[in-house]
Amino acid sequence: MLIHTYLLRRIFLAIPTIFGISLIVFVIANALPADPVSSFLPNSALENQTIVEEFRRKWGLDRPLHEQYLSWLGNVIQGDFGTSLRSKRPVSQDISSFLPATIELSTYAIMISLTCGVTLGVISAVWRGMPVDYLARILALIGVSFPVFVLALLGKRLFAVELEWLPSGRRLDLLLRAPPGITGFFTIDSLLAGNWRVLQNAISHLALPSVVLAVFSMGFITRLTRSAMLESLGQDYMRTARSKGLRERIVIIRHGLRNALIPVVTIIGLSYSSLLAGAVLTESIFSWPGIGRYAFLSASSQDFPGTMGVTMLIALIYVGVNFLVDILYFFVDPRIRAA
Amino acid sequence: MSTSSISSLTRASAPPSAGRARVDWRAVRHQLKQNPLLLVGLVVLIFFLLIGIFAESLAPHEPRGGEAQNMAKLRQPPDAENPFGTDQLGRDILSRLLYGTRLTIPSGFLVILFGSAIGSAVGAIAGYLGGSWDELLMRVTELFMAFPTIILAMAVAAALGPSTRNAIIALTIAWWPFYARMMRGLVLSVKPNEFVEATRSIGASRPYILFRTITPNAIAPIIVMMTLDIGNAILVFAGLSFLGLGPDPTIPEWGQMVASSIDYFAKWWMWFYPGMSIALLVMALNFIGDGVRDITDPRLRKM
Repeated sequence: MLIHTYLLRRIFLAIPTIFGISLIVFVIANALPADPVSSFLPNSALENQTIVEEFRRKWGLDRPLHEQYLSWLGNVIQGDFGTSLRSKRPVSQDISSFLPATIELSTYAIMISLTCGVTLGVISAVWRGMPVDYLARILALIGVSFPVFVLALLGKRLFAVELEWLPSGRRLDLLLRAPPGITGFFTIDSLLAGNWRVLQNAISHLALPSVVLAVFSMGFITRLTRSAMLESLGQDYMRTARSKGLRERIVIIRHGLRNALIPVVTIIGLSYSSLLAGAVLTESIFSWPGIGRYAFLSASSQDFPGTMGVTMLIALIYVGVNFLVDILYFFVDPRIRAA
Repeated sequence: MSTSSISSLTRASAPPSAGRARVDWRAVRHQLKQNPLLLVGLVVLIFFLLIGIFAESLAPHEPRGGEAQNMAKLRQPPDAENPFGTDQLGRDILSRLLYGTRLTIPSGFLVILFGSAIGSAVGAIAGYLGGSWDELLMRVTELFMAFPTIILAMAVAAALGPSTRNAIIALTIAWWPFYARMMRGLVLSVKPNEFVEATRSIGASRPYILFRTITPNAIAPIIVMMTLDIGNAILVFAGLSFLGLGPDPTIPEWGQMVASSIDYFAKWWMWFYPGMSIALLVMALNFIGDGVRDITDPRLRKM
C-alpha cells in the first residue's frame, strides 16, 4: 500500500470519530445536568427569573436537543466553545494561550518515558530473573501505582525545596522574558532566537514536571516492553540470527527489539493520553500555565464551559496523536506496506 | 489470556459452566511462597481493610464535623497528640486517614463492579449477535475510549455536580468500554465451541445460550482483569477527588485531603500522609493483581 492511500484511509476513519466525540461532549454538557442553566450561570444570577429566561432563550435551551446539538456543533467548528465563567474570556482564547505549554511539557515527558521505558523493559527481559530484572519490575510497579499528584509534591519538596537543584514551578524565572513565540515551545523558540540563558532556564524548569509526568507511562511502557521482548526472544528467528553468528547485541536489538516494538508503538497513543490526564493533576502543583492547570481550575471552580472545552480538546489531541501513531506504524510494521 | 485461567487455583475437575469450584489451599500456599510480592500485597490490603473496619476504635480524634475542628491547633506538625499533624481546620490527620479507608476502598470496588458488569453485558451482546449490532456497539465503545479515563470522568462529574455518588457514576461511565472490548473478544472465542452448538440444538433460547452457556466460560479473564484494575480505579477516584469532583470536603477522603493541602505546600504532613496512603494501597493492589495474573496466565508462568 502506498503511504498516500494509507493516510487518506486513516483520515476518513477519523472523521466519524470526531463527530462521535463532539456528540458525547454535547450530551455530557447539555443532557446530563438536571438543569444546564444552573451549571452555566453563577448562583447569584439564578435567583433572577428574567435572567434565567433570557439565558434559556439566548442559548436556545428552549429548543429541542438535536437542534441545540447542530447549532453547538456549528459554533465548535468555528472554534467557539463559549465563555469561561471563571476567566470571563472565550474558552477558545484561554485554551489557545495555554495549549503550547502543555504540548511542550507532554512531548518531553513522552520522550523520557519512551526512552527509559523501552530501555528498562529490554534490560529486564534480557536479564530475566536476575536482580536487575526484579529492580526494573518493582520500579515499573511503583511507577504505575503512585498517584501523579503525590509524586509531583514529593519531587517538588525534594528537588526544589530540600536540595534546591531545580526551580519549583513556572516555565521560566520571573525576571526572564519569554522568547519570541514561533512554535510556543520555549526550548525551541529560545534556540531559534539564539538565547542560551533562556534555553538553559527553560530546560531547568521543564526537568522536574516532565520527569514526574513521565513516571506513570514509563512504568507501563516498561511492563509492556518486557513482555513483548520476552515473547520475541523466544521466537525461532532469534535462534536463526544467533546461528548466523551475529553478535548478541545485534541479535537482541535488530531482531528481538525490532519485533517487540510493534505493541510498544500501539500504546504510544494511550501513553500520550495518560500524560495529558496526568497534566491535569500536576500542572497546578508546578504552576505550569498549561491546559491541565486550566482544566483543574475550571473543574474545581465548577466552570462548566471551560471544563467541556478542555475535555473536547484533549479527546481531539488523542485522535490526532493516534493518527501520527498510525503513520509510525506504516514504517515499523512492513506488513501494512505489503497489504 | 487463557479462558480456563482460574483452574490453576481450583481443582480442575469441573466441567464447563459447572458452578462452584473448590479452592485448593495447598496450591495457594505454594503460589504465595513463589511470589513474595503477592504476599506483601495481601498483607498490606488486609491491614487497610482492618483499619477501615475498626476506624472508630482506632481513631484518636473525631474525623469530621464541628467537634473535629480545633482552632487553637491549625496546621500543626506531628506531635504526641496528633501523630500525623493537623489540617487547615485543626482536624487530626491520622483520624481522617483512618476513616478515609472506608470511602476509598469501597468506591474503587464499586467502580470496577459496575464498570465490568455494564461493559461485559455490552461486549457479550455485541460478540454474540455479531453483524451490524456488533459494529454499532463497538463503534460506540471506541468513542468512549477516545477520552482519557480521568478526563471523561472529570467532564461527567462536573456535569452531575461533585459528590461521592456522582464520582462513582462518572468513573463507571469512563470505565466500562475496556470490559466491553475484552468481553466481546472472549465471547467470540467461546461461541464456536461444540457445547454452545449442543445447547442450541436442544432448543435453548438465545439469552440462555449467551448468559448461561457462553458467559460462564468467558468470565475468568474478566475476573483477572478486575483484580488488575482495582488499584487503577482507586488511583483515578483519588485523582477525581483531588480535582474537587469527589466527596464533599467535610468527608475525610485521601485525594481530597491532598488537594486541600496544596495551598500549604510547606506543611508537608498535610499532603504526605494521605498521599502515601493512596500510593501504598494502590501498590498493594497492583502487587496482588500482578500475582493473580502470573498465576492464571500459563504463558507467563512458563517464562
